[in-house]
Amino acid sequence: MSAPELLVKGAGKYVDDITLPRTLHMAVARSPYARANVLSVKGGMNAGDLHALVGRFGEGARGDTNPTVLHPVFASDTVNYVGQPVAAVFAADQYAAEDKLDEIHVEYEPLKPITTIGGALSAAPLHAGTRSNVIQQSWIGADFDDPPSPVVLEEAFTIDRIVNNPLEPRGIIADYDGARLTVYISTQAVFSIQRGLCNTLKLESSNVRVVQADTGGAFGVKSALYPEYVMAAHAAVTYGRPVKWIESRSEHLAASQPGRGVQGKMKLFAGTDGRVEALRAEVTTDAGAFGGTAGTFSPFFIAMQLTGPYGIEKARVRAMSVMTNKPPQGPYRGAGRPEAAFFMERMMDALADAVGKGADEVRLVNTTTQPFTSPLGLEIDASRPFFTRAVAELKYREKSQSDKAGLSFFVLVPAVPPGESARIRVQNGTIDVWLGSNQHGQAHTAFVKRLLSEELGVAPDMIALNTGDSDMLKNGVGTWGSRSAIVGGAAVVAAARNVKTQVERRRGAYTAEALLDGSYDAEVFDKHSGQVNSFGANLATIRIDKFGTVTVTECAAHYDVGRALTPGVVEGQIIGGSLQGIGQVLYEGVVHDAEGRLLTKDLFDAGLPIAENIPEFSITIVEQPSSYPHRAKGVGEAPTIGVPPAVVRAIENVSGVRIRHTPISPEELIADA
Amino acid sequence: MYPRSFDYFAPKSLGEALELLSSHPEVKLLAGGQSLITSLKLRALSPKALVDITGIKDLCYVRNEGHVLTIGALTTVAAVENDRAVACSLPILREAAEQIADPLVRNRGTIGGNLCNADPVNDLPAVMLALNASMVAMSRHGTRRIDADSFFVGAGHTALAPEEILTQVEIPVEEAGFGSAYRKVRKRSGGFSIAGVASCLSVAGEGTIARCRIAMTAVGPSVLRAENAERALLGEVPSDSVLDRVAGLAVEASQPSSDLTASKEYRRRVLHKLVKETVGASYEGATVH
Amino acid sequence: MRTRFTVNGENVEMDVEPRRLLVSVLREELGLTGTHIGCDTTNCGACTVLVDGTATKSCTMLAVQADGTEILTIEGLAKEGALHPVQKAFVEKHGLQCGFCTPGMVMTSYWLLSQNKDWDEEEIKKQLSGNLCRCTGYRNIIESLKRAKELMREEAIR
Repeated sequence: MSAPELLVKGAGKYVDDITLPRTLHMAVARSPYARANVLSVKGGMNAGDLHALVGRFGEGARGDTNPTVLHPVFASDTVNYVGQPVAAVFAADQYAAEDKLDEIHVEYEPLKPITTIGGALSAAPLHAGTRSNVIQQSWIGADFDDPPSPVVLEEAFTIDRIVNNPLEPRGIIADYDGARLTVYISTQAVFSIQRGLCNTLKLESSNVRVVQADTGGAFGVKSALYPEYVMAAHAAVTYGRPVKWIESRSEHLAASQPGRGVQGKMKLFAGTDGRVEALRAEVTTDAGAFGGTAGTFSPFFIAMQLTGPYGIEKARVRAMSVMTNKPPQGPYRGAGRPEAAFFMERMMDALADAVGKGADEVRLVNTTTQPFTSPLGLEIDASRPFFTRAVAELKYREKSQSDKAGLSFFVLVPAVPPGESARIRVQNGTIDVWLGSNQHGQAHTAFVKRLLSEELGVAPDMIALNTGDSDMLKNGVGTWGSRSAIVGGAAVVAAARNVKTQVERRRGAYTAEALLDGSYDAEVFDKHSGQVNSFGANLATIRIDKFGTVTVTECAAHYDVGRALTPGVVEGQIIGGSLQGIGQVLYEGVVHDAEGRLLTKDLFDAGLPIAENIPEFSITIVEQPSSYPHRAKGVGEAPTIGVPPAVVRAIENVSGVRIRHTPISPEELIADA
Repeated sequence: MYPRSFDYFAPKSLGEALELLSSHPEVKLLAGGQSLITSLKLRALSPKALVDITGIKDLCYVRNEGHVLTIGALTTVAAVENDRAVACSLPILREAAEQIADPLVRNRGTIGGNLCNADPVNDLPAVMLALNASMVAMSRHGTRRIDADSFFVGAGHTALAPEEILTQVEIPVEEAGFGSAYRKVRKRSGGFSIAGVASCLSVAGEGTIARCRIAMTAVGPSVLRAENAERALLGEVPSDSVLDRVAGLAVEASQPSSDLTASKEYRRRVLHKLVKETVGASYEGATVH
Repeated sequence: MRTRFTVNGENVEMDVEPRRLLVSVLREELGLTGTHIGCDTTNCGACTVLVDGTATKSCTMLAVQADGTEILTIEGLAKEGALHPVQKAFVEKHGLQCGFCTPGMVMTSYWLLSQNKDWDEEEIKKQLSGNLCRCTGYRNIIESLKRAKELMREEAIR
């Protein structure tokens, strides 16, 4: 990424800012129907020209598998979500490209769409040749006999889908010189894109270079391979001209991969002291018409984390994802972690009410005093010390009395596996670094400079973190799941130590002068597979006006980040993520009508919070070092996990209305006039 | 994302603009463009031709003429929001202006544009109805005054003929005993209204309401007057029970529908509280001086 | 249609199709890609420039409407490579993360500061309602605006 000093002058180079000579602009014709047979497609580049798949799913998934469902680049016989690409046109500028869409004629035969999880379970299969609309279903946690607990609580929760909506929509430029395809793209992961394009277009990876343009936010939506990327690449090869595709906001809202969209059914068995003896749960995700990057992965990931920071000894969860006539589901900051915490934290609050204890007391009773591995596979340190301190620091007791504050407690599970790659090259007195992880606002440059200046003993301004480029590393993973400081940082340290060893071998001993004097190149793929989990707690206070409009007045965070490599950046991440958490509760949720048409179709409807919506933020950072050489833990997604349940509980406390879903509308909160 | 092609005319005088309108009846007038250009970009509208009247400089003014405030139709919402005369004599107009969309949209959006769009969720139609304003329309054939009660005909429709341009709004300015307020409820700032209420009233010596006008927006297919509610206020001091009754009558006169923003039941509940709040605030404004 | 205006102090004269938006002409014909496009319904403010000193969403203005105006874009703020105080403040106070909304935020901030009003924080937040940010949560943007005011005062004294 360009440095902030450049971005602030408008000197960034986002993908739409890149101009190549003779570029063709691409526009995409999309289905207006959520479900239809496609009788004919005339005009543009379409399935007749490119029989390629974005992916296939249903294969190799755990549990009850369906035969393979193919996700095509261009729809051919059927369309299965509003916005699904049917054809593409190309012209010398964006205006003319959009005009050319008028030349495409598609004959549709509309069919009745499936628009809800319940609908998916009862309707005939969407896709020909499959047995049902269940992509996969499996159980985790050993079964048990229901304990004879005096308190048994059952609740069902829903979190609506949310469109990621980074300020910069998706975009790509594909350029083919006759031998190699070079792609400039707004992305979180150049290697994911490279792998995807190679698999789909049957290209050798040595012939495909993917370069990350400055990326204007992603939050999970820019790691997947999308049909439009494949079309642009194929068109570049076909026409021998660079092809640029820049998504409109309307397209982003309709046809990217929204996140969330999950239902949770929870059943807690507890003692009268609030100690949870067992948990049964069902997690069902709305995976959309083609699985998506989250469709196959997220139910288990949610299920695995359900016990949260609590020592619950018995738990069994059914994890299931179903297909509906909506765009494929993808990760949205948190990507399953917020859902898991929401379900458990809502139950903790319900439990507090049922047994007549404070929200903090009932949680305390369930914390652990030893490291604990849950029956669902989640590993946590002892949670009691952190929680006790958090409750005190957040002044929960006092604010619970004075302001009816809501409290949440959670564990952040970063996406550590399989690790990350880093390369350090020293020549002519400068140190260049490449990371498999591609920053897009998280300021990786800052922690890379800090870690390397510590490891190598050089001034930070001698170090340059270069843009993501698949030509400069053998492979890499990407930026998501709160992982970059952990595994990206570890890879950078590992590469630094490799370089130091090279210097020692050549010069007898390591010094910074010896390093800068010579030429060295070290690339490592630093493998990691364990869990590096950390705790966090949030407190929120709100007020509600006579129209039911909620204002969040205070949002306080108490997070363990292991080691804050760049404190200002860490705080910025926490504040930004907190507002997204507030957005989930108060403003954001995708709405389709019964015909599957998207009703939340512009940015107003999407509900992004504005400056007037922000509360007073307060942040306490705890630093319990991780076992990694840099001692850091994750942080990026922590606020999206902890903030929603704390805000929802505060709303419950003030309004007296029990809340089981997000987003909440003002009309649910006011009593009849 | 980008408009279709259109023929474009940019007259520099009102005369020129009126000539164009009479010879090209199917054109759309472009003023601030904050609504129109957005519709063009989404290709919801693709007119053959646009007549851009932003070059007609002598339609931007706010003139305090004693008992009447006149506002040129091309005056931006921001200019009205920041105008001293408006702040002093017509606080309701300032109150409404500063809640329209966002500051950047207000910098270009015009009073005329907001009124002529006659969008059922726009703010200014309700304000002009409550103020009993007159709209001045010009064509090649002459000028006429259309009072607010006749101007807003339906959703997106005004009483303007295709060859007419709205040139000015005339608002009577009352002296002592006059109070006005505009309140609205939105899901979030910048978003579409759930309900909006404009009220203007005059208070007689004994503190009872002598005249009043109440207009409601976003709760019907078009802007609405709540005439039964107005009649119930005459001769009364607005106690809480009076306001409750008045609000009930306003809700009966409303015709809200359910959409993405709000259900009709919620709109009714909001409207009830909003009418009470707005009329209450107007009365306070009237009795303060 | 022949259109003449100034951009960042330079005279520009060109033939431009009436339907071309001002933001397209700035970005494509003039290569000033600092002004960004973030939406298609006049919500996000990433396209904010100053037209005759007034903050304007350049995506909701035709380029032909710029005839006879003076336009200031993000590229016109820094003088001889030195960041303008508003820009310095944004960097200092972490007012940006991904940077995409930043040119619009900076131009709106510059416009707000040019009005020399003594706004409290509530009013500042309202004045920012036309500019969306997804990364920062706005807190540091507000701090950047306040810091910019200080820096500008210091510079004026000097």
